[in-house]
Amino acid sequence: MSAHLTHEELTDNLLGVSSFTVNAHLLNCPACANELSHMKSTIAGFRGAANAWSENALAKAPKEQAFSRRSSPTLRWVLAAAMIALIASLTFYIRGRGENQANTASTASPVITVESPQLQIEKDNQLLSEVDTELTEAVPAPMQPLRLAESTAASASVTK
Amino acid sequence: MTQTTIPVELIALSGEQRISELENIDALIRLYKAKVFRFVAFSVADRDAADSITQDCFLKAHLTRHQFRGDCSISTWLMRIAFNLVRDHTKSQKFRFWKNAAATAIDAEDVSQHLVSGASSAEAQLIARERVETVHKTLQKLSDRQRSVFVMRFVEEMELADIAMATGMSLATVKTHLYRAVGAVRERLGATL
Repeated sequence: MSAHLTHEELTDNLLGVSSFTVNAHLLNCPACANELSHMKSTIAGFRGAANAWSENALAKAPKEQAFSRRSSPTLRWVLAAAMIALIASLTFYIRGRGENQANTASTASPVITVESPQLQIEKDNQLLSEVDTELTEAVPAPMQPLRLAESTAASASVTK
Repeated sequence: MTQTTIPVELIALSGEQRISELENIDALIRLYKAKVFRFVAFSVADRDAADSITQDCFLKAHLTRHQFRGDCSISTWLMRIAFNLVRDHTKSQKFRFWKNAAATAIDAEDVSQHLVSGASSAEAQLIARERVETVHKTLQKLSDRQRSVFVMRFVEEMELADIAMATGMSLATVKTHLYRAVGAVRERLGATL
């Protein structure tokens, strides 16, 4: 008997495309026939297990609509990234707002604390006296330029 | 076993009849979902990804149903769409990153537990399960194309010409991939015995 079947010849038989010569060899060579039988049974076992596994996996899967369009993986990533960005910006916003309030408080407080009550009273008195002066004037401050111009014109006519 | 079988009347449909059949997406899913899911699951070795790709496959089939020329069976056409989706998925960086860390990765032992063995003794059943696990583990070592072609031929029992049409490869290329894939399986099985 010639040498055993090559790997290609054995695979051809597995694929169902073996030649007459190969088939004849298998009839007379127990080693090759055994090897082929071993491969066929293993592949058949794998096919059976794969079929059973997939049926089980599909049966376990949650019942869904016959034709429901799922969001694509890319879209899900974009949505996740947008959500993270939103949370991050909110965090920064809240933190920044807190810092601003703290800064405002820290800048405003020295004005109140540094100025002594006596100085504040003097400033108030000065402001009140200015208001009082303005009120006692016969002509309001905005109209004083007009009055000045009028007096200038009168004096000019006298000199003529 | 409740394996979905394709009705003979659907196989015998003419091209135009097949195109009209594509309008009924519910029937399409009912007939071919198990087949597409199984092919994708054993190609990407991840159950969640398989779910997603299977849905994408039927969505794409529905959206491009008018491009179906009827020059092959609906099954082959769907497998072609699934093959392209699997190829795109495995090419992506995301797949490479998560490949080894996928929580939903298909476990070889889980698959072998589903083996319906006719072996009489417990020892023979154990050996048969180990063989199934070896085949599954070897599949993960193969190239993407070798794995897809192996699953199409030996799990889905597709004809070589249909595999060539579904993958866009020549018949000779399909056979070359199968020689290498079977060679790897034989080598691993020989090493474990």
